Amino acid sequence: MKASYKCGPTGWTLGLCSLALLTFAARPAAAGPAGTSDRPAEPAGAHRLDKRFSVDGRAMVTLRNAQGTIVVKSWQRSEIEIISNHASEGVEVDAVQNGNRIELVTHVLRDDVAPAELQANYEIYVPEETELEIKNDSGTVSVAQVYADVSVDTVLAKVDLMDVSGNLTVHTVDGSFTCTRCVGRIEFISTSGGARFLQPISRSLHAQTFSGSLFYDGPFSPNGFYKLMTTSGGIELALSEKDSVKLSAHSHQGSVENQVNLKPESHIFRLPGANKGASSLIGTTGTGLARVELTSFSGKILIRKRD
Amino acid sequence: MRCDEFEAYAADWLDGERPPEAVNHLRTCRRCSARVAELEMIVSAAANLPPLDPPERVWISLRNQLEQEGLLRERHSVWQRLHVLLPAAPRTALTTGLIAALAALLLMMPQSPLGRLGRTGNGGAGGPEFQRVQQQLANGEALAGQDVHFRDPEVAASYQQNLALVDNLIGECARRVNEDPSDEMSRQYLATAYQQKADLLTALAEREALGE
Repeated sequence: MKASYKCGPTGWTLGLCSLALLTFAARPAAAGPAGTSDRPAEPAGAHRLDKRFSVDGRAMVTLRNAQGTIVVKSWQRSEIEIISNHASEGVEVDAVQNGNRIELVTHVLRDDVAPAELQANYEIYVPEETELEIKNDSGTVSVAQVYADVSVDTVLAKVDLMDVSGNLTVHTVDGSFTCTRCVGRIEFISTSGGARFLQPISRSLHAQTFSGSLFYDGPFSPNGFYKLMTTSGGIELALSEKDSVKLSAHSHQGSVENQVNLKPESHIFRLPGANKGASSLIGTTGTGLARVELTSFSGKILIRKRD
Repeated sequence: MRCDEFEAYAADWLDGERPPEAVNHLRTCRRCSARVAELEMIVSAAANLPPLDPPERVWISLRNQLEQEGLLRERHSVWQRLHVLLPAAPRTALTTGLIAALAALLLMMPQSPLGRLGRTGNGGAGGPEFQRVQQQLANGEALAGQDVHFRDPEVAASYQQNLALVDNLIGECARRVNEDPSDEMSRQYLATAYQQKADLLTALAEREALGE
């Protein structure tokens, strides 16, 4: 994929590509391993696993766990360290290397394992360009300073991505998602979980939840597309008049409240066939380079003024 | 040749191609000459750099930029898209049913190019285009309930509650679409709710296949 582009006749893309590479070459190396003060709690009488795997180039870590705290951080070494602990004899942790792919699985050993015995916690250190695929039913998943595609799938577990860059995909049933200074394409799909996007840099953000709420506070990239959709949950968007955004907001049964001075074409109207309570708003700030779509079935949409 | 027309030749120029009309333009245009000189300097400087494997974020950023400009497109057939939607391992009767349901969803999604073909009228819960999906999902739900054994009751409760939540939305949207077939937003939410239900049942199918 990475080499399959062609700098075509539309402009100076090749020059920009070269500039991007030069900029990267001139960039100082990132700081060393992130802090270690927030290690997940180790259960009493824990079984502990501490394994290191050497990797060459881009690695991938897959993790499948039922319950627990998962913390992933990057460091500058070409190796992956897995520290895991669990209290029960009813589960065991498998860590297997297959080339540059590390597979971690928490196996349940007995049928009569009590729910509390399912817990296994992981602390994982990876090279910063390591792709991650994490499944954790309940607990928390926290990833920081990883610059590759990240996919997280949970039922109840909260997901926290911080300073992560890549194609970021988070699917939960009930778990909430906080995305702080994330960079890249972002997708969040949940049934009941809410999401907060804080200072992301993205050209493509799609967030969809049924009963959860969505919050966005960050810049809007030119030609970017930001789609936030809820059923009953609220949507709150922080917008500055200095942003360049073409905004549309529609709530079928709820309300749309706007605190931002949008360009003259903005108006609140009712779509044909929409019920009486439905309200919509379309308007622009700046030259309207980014496209923002906010849609809710019955939730309230608030467009809050950001200074 | 105008400056904007010359831009179309810039990349080829850097590859060594010298069309006469571009050469003529460069002779007379100071602006384009300066730009080409800058680009050649960048290419030359890049050639002197040590071999470099840029980080994933650079490729992702470039890929996004190129996709935005329409220079790079991933082309997937409908079947490839369906394959991506579903896990590779479990090819059970349940997932077969869900594949059919998702295929039907693709046909009725308002934004799908196939959607217009599937929308032939109204009637039933949300219209006839939804009936096939309803039936497939009902079959999938019946199978999903039989074999999945949850070790964590909180996870089981979450699936139950959220399936109920989606069912409620399906009921509400179907009622609205039946009352007002021109209510596009309810129709869109109905399709989204069906898709979410298919996703939940697929997750259950995956658990079943993995023996969880």
